[in-house]
Amino acid sequence: MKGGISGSVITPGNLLDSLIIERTHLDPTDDDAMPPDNHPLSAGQKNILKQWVQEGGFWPKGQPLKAHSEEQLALRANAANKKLLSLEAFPSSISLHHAEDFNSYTILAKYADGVSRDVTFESSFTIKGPEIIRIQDATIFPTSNGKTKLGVNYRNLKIDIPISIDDYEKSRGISFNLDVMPIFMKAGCNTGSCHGSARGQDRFMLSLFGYDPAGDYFRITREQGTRRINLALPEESMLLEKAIGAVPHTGGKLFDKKSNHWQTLHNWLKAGAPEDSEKVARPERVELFPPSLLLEGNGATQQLTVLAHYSDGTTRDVTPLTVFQSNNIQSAAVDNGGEITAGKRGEAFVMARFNVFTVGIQTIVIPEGLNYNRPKTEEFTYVDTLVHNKLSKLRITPSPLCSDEVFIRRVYLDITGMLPGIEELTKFLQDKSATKRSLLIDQLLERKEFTELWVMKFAELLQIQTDANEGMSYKATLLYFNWLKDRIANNVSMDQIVKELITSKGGTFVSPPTNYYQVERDNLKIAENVAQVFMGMRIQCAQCHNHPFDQWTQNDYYSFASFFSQVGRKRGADPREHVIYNRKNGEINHPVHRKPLPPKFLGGHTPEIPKDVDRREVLANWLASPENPYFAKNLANLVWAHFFGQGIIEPVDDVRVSNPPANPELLDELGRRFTAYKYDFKKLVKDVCNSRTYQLSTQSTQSNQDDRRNFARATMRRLRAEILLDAISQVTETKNKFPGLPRGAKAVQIANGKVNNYFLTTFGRAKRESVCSCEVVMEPSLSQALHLLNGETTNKRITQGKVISKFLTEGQSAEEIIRWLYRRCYSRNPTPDELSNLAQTITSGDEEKGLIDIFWALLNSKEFIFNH
Amino acid sequence: MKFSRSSDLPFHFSRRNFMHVGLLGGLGLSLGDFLQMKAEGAQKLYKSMEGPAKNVIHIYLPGGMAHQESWDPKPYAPLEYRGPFGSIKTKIPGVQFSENFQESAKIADKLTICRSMTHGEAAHDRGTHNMFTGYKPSPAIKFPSFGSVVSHELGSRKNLPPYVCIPRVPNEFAGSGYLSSSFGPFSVGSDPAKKEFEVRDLSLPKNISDHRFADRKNLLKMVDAHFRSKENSDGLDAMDKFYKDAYSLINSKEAKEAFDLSKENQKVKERYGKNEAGLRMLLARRLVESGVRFVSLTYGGWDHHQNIETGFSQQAPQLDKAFATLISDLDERGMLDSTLVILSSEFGRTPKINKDNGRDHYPRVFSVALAGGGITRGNIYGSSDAFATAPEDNPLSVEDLASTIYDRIGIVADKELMAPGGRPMEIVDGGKVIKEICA
Repeated sequence: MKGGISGSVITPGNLLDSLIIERTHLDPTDDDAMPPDNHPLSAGQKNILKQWVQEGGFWPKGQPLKAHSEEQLALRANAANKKLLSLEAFPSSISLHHAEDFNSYTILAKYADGVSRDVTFESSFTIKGPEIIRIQDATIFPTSNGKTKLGVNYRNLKIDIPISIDDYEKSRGISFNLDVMPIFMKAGCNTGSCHGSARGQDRFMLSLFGYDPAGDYFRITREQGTRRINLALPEESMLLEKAIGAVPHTGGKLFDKKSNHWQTLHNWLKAGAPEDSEKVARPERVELFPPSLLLEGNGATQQLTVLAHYSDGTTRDVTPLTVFQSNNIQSAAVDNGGEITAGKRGEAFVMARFNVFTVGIQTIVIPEGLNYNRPKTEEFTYVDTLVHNKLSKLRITPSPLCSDEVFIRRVYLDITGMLPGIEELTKFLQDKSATKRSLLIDQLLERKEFTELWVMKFAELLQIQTDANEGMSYKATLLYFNWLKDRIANNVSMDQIVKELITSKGGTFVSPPTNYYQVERDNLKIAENVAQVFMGMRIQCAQCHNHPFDQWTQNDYYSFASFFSQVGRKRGADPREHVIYNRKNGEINHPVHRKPLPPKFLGGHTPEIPKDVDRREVLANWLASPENPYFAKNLANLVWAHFFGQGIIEPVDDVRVSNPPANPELLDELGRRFTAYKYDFKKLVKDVCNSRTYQLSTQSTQSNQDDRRNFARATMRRLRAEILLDAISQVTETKNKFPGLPRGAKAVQIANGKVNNYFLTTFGRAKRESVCSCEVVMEPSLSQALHLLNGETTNKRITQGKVISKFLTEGQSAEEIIRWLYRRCYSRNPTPDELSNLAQTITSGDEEKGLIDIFWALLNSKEFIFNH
Repeated sequence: MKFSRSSDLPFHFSRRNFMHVGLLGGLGLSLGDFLQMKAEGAQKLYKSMEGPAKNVIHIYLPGGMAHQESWDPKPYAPLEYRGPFGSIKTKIPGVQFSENFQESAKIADKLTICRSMTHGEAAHDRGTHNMFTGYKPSPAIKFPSFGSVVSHELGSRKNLPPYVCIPRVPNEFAGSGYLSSSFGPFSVGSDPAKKEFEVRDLSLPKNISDHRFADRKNLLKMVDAHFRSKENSDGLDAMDKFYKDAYSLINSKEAKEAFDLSKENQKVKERYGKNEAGLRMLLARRLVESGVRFVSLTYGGWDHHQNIETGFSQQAPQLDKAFATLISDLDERGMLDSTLVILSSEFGRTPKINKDNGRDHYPRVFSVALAGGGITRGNIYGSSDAFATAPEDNPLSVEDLASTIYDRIGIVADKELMAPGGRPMEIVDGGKVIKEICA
């Protein structure tokens, strides 16, 4: 380090002789004090300086520099005491092509407690081999062709980053798609609120998030003559002048003159605003580093690196061209350059969007210096291991197990949709065996009510309901429902059921799964429904433009829809019957270039489809197979959501990059097991219900009270409409009557979504008008409260069922009846206090009235209405 | 020392940073506290206080009512633009309505017609979303409706639910969005035009006396106590809130009578029209008179892709009569100045009559009728061009309309409410209060 007129600034290893130490330790008002003007360094900063000089004042060549806030300095100092595990470099190797290329790197220190720190600016670097690179700002620039290594050293842990450089002497040239288009996204030009709006902005339109580069090229270079560009004087192009705010621009100034973005646009204009040739490589995928983060302490930072891979095999560091977003800026904010700053304890998903790709990483933030040791909580199944792994990262302890009383009520309601009977309850509570919970699960899975519950859930997803105008007769509806019931009851595996549905052909009466194509007759909508129900994806947005929050492009949408473009429909012999057949021709045109796209699996490849083969068969064989990465996971998530009140991805039918799973490892494993079980639901349900995680209490612990997404305790769930009505019928011993079903049928058994029932509508039964999981409404409302308080479902049924009067006639005491009511409604005995308090409210001589009122109160109570 | 790129410095490496930290130290605050305070300070909070519009009646016409056949006729345009109907003079000199709105024309001096309403959503659900929430639809967030925001900001009055839908919740955007479901609408659940019209479950069952109900409430409290002492969840809180609301409603005779249309005499019913339009509006008037803050009602189907002439002939006369009566009735009762009436639809319809003698979806320009509640009387705001294809002057955005409505109710539209994930969201994103239509 060069000194000034006073001589050298430091003497390595000697504090007293080092001017930098002297000057910074002077009285702040001293004329020679540094920093000047009475702005002394903090104690922490002084210590760091001293430590550095003492350690030899090592100043490596190319060492990147960066200022640290007070907190970061404190974090850095504290980290010195932590046990270091390993050092990782991202990317782990670097290859550069052409003179303009560069690549940034980050160095990650991993500690024994799972925490990671960005130590890029704390490590030292040496070039091991030919000096063919230049380093600036943690970025490597080529200076010649060849191979070399960058050696990294942090607290005596060492790693090497291999570097190769070729074509250094060549220029990459400028490309509209690769260089110019990314700027429109990065600078926000093509968002929906700016020029990406369907009508553009101030008469200039760009395709939303760049779904149509050719159209954008045309609009920039040809629309309104050539007023947007000036090839003679590129600097004076409207495109540039607007962007730098040199002329009035509604969107304001986006970047500076001579900035990198400006240079790129300027170079492109100077080159004559060329259109890309066919040979220009396409980005094929994008990688975001590091892959996941556990940050400790408010103020901890981490730089992200984004690497794009192109069709010609090359890669490029596109970090400066990437749009970064965090879904929880309180916990992890991310700046324009891709640096994350940790904030409040919590979890965030930080996303990077480049070209049509969106990738993201899970970022967990914990407070500094938490005293946490992973508790030795028992693990019943693999589910628990994976849940606990995540909880441990969050430093959260799961709640204790729930009581047997709570368990039996919960598992009955979840598996069978019914409350346990009094005898079943007594037997279970008296059973002393250690395996009684899992035995009960096994028994319940064999009951027909389990099947009925899942038939109902799938009937919702398949929108089974009559609609005479749209060609769904009552007969067809019943046949369709019975087909589904038959399949599920016989434990036909899910992949088989889906294949039968997707490939169905023939009359809607003879071959009931064909009704899948009759319930919905718009082939685009069918493609959307298939994606939403069987893959959990909402691709609707991509019908008109690239999905703004996901990876799906318009091309993905139309090439997936092409699988359904040849579905034919005609009248059957019976006027109520329709016939579904393969038309063997017919295409759906892409709206931008008005040409059809060959069928391509969503998120998969483009299959070869021989002529005369039904496209739907090809689709079905992929859709319901392990080749489709979403199928098993999506169904596993559906199962999970049923038992926990929320999916690992929530909502279950909104799988997208920007809505990541709460616990990806858990979801992956459930999907893997479900595939290995050959898509047998029961086996998966067994795994889930036997887990400790499913059997947790709803009561929170100190560490998990604010957490709602990581299954650290059981969640309160209001009973869904059908199950609540069935439970009321069960405890009041009354019978339902629904159109088309025998007296005493359960609400769960209703085949037709059109069946009208005030109770069910008020409590939010799915209307089956769409496949959306949002159709089932679980929120309470004023109408629900009024109905339970004053309505016939409680008042009339209590007297109709004559439960109370029957017991009284049998000579049972009020206390005995209260006990029975508690066991029936809550699956537990009343506490001594509850029993005596309630018994006291009963006037002798009018026991019936008093007991009816207690029964009414139980049906209105939250312990009854909720599964807990 | 030399820094190669200053943008790499999160805090400018200078004395400024040290000064800040030092200052905070002096106050005994850590930087974290300071940032936290800043974040909280950044949430824009204003107290909502009742404005001139103490009540709101929102009449929504699902499907997209043509502006040409209602508030913005184009009598001088060629037939294929003008459409099948003629125009009539109104109480506002020089202003014409379609002949479908004879009665409204007579009270036009009490109305403000915005003829330059504009947005970009031509699909029913997206347009409806705009007109119920004041926001463009977003895949990431569910926005609360006007009624739910009013419910959240001002709460209930006279034991009545603050936000009521007639006959039922009209669409998914009329709900509480990201706000707790306890701010959701109360659905009347039955059509006032039906003979057997009754709002269910408002009254105690016949054999339950007030006294016995009080006993029952007490019992319910007793059986709930154990569970409530152990458990805690948002779902339980929302349920409790609705039980509390239900008790107030059940126990108040006046509140219950608000829903009882039989208390209105035949003449009044006939004046409104004994049909869906008339009786829904009459019930809306009863409800706001009794204390409901925000009533949302729907009438008819206005998606006239085919044969717009028949469509209007069948539905418009009832709408016209009921609407004009509602305005006059409110005015006669001295309630118009405190009751904002909004008549809107998701969009207008295409300038040119199509091959099926109908008109298609058209959000670029259409009309909204407003009256009372601090809105000007006898005013036409903005205009569309000669063929009703685009706003000619003073284009009125969804955000502007929403901001103005909220302003009249007494809610600052710029206020931020907390969406899930601690994300503060403005009640309306942008938009300005249109002073020209404020009385």
